[in-house]
Amino acid sequence: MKEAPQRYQDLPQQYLLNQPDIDLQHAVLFSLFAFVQRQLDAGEVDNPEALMTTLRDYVLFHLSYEEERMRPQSYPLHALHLAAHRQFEDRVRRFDQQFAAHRDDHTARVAVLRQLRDYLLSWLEGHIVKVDRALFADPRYYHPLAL
Amino acid sequence: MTDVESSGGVRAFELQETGAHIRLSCRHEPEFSDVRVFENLLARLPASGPVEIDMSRLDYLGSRSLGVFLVMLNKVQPRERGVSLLGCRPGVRKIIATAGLDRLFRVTP
Repeated sequence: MKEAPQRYQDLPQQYLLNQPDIDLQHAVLFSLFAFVQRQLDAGEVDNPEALMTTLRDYVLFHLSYEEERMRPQSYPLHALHLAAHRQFEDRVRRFDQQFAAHRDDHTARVAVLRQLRDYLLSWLEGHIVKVDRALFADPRYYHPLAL
Repeated sequence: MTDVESSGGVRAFELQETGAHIRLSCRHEPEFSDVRVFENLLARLPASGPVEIDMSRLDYLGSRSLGVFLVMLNKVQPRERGVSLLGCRPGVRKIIATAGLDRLFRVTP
């Protein structure tokens, strides 16, 4: 049976890097961003724990996975790239703490969710377009995908 | 056997059995509108015990469904259950592995 081509829903075309694993993981991150947006649209912000657990775990997994595909010796922006990842992880953790601090305050949770949406979008767009694209522009900088 | 309908009227999850192992059958790619239905289903399950999700009816998972599905799985996890995905067809298993879900949840044949 012929395999269906991967659909990268929620991932704008301009963010494709022609790396099937990275593109799919980026698409999942964009789908989590879309999930945040839909929660805001639907006014369902009372139980963001599962969303935050998902986001935190998936961000940690994806960044670590991407780092495994880098070749530190030949990739000139390795240290900067890792620093950007740590910054993103720290910010996601702080969002988690902000939600915990406003457990009983619906208005504050909506505000935090809006901040999270804006941060996710701007970070993903900027990071994928500039930093990740530079990494995957030169085969010397990364290990090939082992399928 | 209990069927649960999503807001679109499509039966999304089916509770196949309860007892030592709770088994849910995923009947189509999860959508955002299935999340609330899934929460209602979880509320009716015993508070503890491993949960198996039968994936054998799915022949594809798009990235949007993967995001929604991840959130759903984490709605089960906080109850300190073990969650495992079983019966994935080869194409779905490959998508799950490429997306890295097999590093976050147990995937069994």
